[in-house]
Amino acid sequence: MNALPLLSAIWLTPFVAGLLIMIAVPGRAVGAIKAIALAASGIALALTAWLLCRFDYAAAGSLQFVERIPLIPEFGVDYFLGVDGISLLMLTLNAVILFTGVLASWSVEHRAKEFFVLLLLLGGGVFGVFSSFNLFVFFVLYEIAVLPMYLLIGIWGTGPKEYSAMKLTLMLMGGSAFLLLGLLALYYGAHPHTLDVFELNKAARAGQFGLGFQKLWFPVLFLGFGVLAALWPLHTWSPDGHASAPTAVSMLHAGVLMKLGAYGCLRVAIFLLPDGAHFWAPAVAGLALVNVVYGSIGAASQTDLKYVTAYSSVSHMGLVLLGLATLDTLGMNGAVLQMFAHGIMTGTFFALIGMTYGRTHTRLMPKLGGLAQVMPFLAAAYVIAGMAGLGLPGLSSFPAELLVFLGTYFTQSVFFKVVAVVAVTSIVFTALYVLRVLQKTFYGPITDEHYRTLKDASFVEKMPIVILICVMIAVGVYPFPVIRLIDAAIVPVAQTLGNLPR
Amino acid sequence: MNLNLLAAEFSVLALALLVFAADLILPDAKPRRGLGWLSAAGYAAILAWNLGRNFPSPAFTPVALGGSFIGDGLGRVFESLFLAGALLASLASIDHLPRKGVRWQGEYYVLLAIVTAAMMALVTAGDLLTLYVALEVNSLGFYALVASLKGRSLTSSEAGLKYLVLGALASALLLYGMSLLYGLSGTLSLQGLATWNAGATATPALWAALGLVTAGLAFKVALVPFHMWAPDVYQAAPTPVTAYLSAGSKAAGLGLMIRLLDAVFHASIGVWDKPLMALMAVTFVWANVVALKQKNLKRLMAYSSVAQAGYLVLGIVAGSALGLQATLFYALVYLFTNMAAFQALDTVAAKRGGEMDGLKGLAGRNPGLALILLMAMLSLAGIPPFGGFFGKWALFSAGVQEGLESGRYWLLGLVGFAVVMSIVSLFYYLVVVKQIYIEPAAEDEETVPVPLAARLALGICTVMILLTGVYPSPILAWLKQAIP
Repeated sequence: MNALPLLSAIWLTPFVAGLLIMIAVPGRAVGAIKAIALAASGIALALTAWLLCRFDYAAAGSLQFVERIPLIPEFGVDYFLGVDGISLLMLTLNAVILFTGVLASWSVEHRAKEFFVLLLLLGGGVFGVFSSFNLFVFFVLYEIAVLPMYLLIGIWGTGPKEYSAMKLTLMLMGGSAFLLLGLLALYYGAHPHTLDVFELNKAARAGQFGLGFQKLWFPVLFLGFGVLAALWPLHTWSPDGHASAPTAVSMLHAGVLMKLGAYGCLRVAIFLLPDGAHFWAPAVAGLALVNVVYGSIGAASQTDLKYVTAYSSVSHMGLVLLGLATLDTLGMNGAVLQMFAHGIMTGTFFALIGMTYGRTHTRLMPKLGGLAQVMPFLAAAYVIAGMAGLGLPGLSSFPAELLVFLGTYFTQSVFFKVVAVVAVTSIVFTALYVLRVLQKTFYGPITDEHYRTLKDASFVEKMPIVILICVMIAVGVYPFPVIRLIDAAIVPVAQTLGNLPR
Repeated sequence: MNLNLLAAEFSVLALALLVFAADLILPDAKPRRGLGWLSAAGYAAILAWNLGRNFPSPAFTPVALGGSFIGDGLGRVFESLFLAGALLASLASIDHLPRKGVRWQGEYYVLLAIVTAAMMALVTAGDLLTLYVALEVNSLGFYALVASLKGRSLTSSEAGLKYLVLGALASALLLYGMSLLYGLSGTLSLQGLATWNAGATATPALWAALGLVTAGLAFKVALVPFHMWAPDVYQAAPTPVTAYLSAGSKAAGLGLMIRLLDAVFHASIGVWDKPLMALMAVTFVWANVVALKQKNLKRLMAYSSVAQAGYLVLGIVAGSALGLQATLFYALVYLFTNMAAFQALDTVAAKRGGEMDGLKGLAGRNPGLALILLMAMLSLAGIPPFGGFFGKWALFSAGVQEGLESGRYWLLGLVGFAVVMSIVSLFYYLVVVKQIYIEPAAEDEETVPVPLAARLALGICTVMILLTGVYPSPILAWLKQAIP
C-alpha cells in the first residue's frame, strides 16, 4: 500500500542508533552518546509526526501503512506491520515519552553508553509491538521491550534495586510464558493455522474457537498481559519496580510499557476470544475494581513520592482494565484514551520526581517541604500533573475517566453499575494523595535550610515537562479528534463482540 | 557396498591417524598448539564437505555394509552437528590444555577424533550390534577424555572413574533391553525391528525392554534421575570436554532416542511416552531448583544442561515430524550456545577462576566477553531474539500441536509445566548476568586476554546464536529436508 516503510523506520531508528552506540562510540564520549540517543528519539518522534500527518483518518478503523514480508513460513510467521487508530495513538505516546525520557536522562553519567543503548532498545521494542500484527513478531518485540528493564533497574536504580529488578523481570516473564502458551493455542486452534491477528479474528468470528476453548484460553492470555498492565493481584512488581527504577525508565515503564499489557488485553485476548471475554468480563471487572480502589488507597498511605506515583499507576491502570472489561464501545473508548492520558501524566510525574530527587536526594515526604519557594517551575508543573491525576476537566485524564465511568455505569448489568459506583469513590482517595503530596512537598515552610540553595529546572529539564504538559492540555481541552480516532478503531472489536452489527 | 555413505566417518578416523602421526613427527616441545589447529582445520573441512552433500530421502535408506549403516537425512544432520561440536571443542582445547599442563595432547586430540567418529557411527548405525559397539567406543573415549587432567587434578581422575562406573551401569541396562528386543523379535536390524513392532502388541516384555532402553538413553542425555554423574563430571573434566559432553554427547543420546524410539518403535509410542514424560517432569523440577543454589559456574552449567535435556526431549515425546525437527533445531542452537558459554567461561576462568564471584564487573573490563555471555545466558533461558527462544517456540509448538490435535492432553500439561519451569531457570541465568553487569568489579581486576582460537570459536557461536534466532528459516528448511 505504501512505498515508504514508515513503520519499520520508526521502530528500527532507536534500534539502529542503539547498535551504533554499542559498536562505534567509545564509553568515554558521553556527549556523543547522548546526542545520538536524542537524535534517534527525535527522528522517531518526527517520523511519528509524519505518520500522523499521512494517516487517513477517515479509515482509522482499518489497517494502514501495511508492510508484509514472509519470515518463517513453516510457523506462520510474517513480518507484518500496520497501524490503525489505536496503534497510532500508542505510537504517538511512545514517541513522546521516549523523546522526553531521553531528555530527562540528560544527567546520567555513570555507564552512560550501556544506559542509552538499553533505553533505545526498550523504546524501539515498544514501537515494534504497537505496530506488529503478527503475534510471533509481536511477542518477540514484547520480550525485547521488557528484558532491558532488568539491567536498567539493576544498574542505575536506587534502593533495593537488585531485588526489584529480579522481581519485575521474573513476574513479567512469567506472564509472557503464559502468553506463549496462549499464542500457540490460538495458532493451532485456527484453521488454517495462522498467527496473523486479523486472520485469527476471522477465525473467531467464523466460530472456530469453541466456547470451552475460549473459556480456557481467555484467562491465560488476559492474565499473561494483565501482569504487565499491573492487574491486581499480579501488580506487586510495579510499586517496587517503579520506585527503584531510574527516572527515564520509570517514565517509559509506567508511561508506555504498562500500556503494552492493556493493549495486548484488548488486541489479543478480547479481540480474538470474544466469547471468553463475555464469560470472564465480570471477574475481570472485579479485579480491576480492586486495582482502582486499592491502588488509590495504597497511594494515599505512602510517603515516598515514587511509591505514591507507582500506586497511582496501579489505580489508573485499573480504570483502563475496567473500561476494557465493560466490553462496551463507550467503556473501551475510555480505556484506550485513559491509556494515552495516563501515559502522558505518569511520565510527567516520574520526570518531575526524578528532577526533585536529583536536587534534594530524598523522596520521602516528611523530609520535604516548601520546595515551591525555590523551584516554582517544578512545583507548578507538579500541580498541573496532579490536577490531571485527580481528573480535573480541561486536562487529558478527565474525558478518559469520564468515559470509563459512564461506560461502566451504562452497561446492562447491575453488577457493573455497582462497580462503577464503587470505582468513583476512588476519586476521593486520589484527591487525597495528590493534594497531600502537593501540600507536604511543595508548600508549607521549608524544612531543610539546605533546600534554599537549590535551583529551579534548567532549560533541558523544562523541555520534556513543557512538551508533556502541552499534550496533556491539548487532549484535555479538545479530545474529540482523539476519541474519533479511537472510536473508529474500536468498531471491529465491538463487531467481534457482537455489540455492533457485523 | 556403498562405502561412500561412510565417507565422513572414515575422514574423521583418517584425521585421528593424521593427528597421531603429526604428534610423533613434531618435535617434543610444548605447548603443541599445532595439533589443535590441525584437528580444527580437519573438522572444518569435513564439515564443509558434509554440508554440501545432498540429503537422501526416505528414512532407513540407503544402507551400507549389509544394512549395518544407514546414510539417511537424520544421520547426516547429526554428523554435521558432531563435526561442528568437535571443531569448537578443538578450538577451545588449543589454549586450555597448555594452561592446565596436560602432557598427552596428542592422545587427547586423537581421542577427540575417535569419540567424534563413534558418535557419528552411533546415529548412522543400522543394527543394534553396530549401535552398541559405537556407543561403547564413544563412552570409553569420553571416560579417558574426562580424566585427561590426570596428575594435575585429582578430581578429574575421580570424575573419569565415576563416569566409567555409572556409564557401565547404563550400558548394561541398554544392553539388557536390546537383548530382550532381540529375543522378542528375532532380529537385530533396525529396519527389521520397525517392521516387527508395527505388528506387535504391547506385552510386558516389550514394556520392560523399552523401559530399559529408555533408561539407558536417559543416562546419555542426563535426565533426572539418571543425571547423577553429570555435575561432578562436568565440573572436574577439562572445560572443552565438558562443553563437548554437554552439547555433543547429549545430542548423540538424542539421536539414539529419535532413531530407536521415534523411528523404530513409533508404533509403541503409547508404551514409552508416559515414562519419558515423567522423567522430563522430574528433570524440570530437580535440575532447575538445584541449579538455583550453585556457586561454581561449571556446576551451574551442568544443572542447566540437565534441565535443557528436558526441553530437548519434548520434541521426541511429541513424536511428530515437527517435534523431531524442533528437537534437532534446539540441539543445534544448544550446541552453539553452550559452546559459547563454556568457551567464554573458560577464558574468564584462566584469569579469575571458575566461581560465580569471578564474573563480577566483567562488563566493565571485557565488554565483548560480557556481551557474549549475556547472549548465551539469555539464549539458554529462551529469550528472543536469540536462537534458544525460537528453539523453545518450536518445541512448545510441537507439544501443543500434538496435545490439541491428537488429543494427548498430558503433553499439553507437560508443555505448560515446562513453560513455568523456564521462568525458574531464568532466575539463575539472570544471576550470572547480574554478576557480569550489575556487580562492581574488584579494584585490582585486570582485563582478561582472549586468545585467537577463543575469538574464532566465540565468533562462530555468536553468529549462529543470532542467525538461529533472527532468521531460522534456512535451517528449518534444511531440517525439513532431513526429516520429511
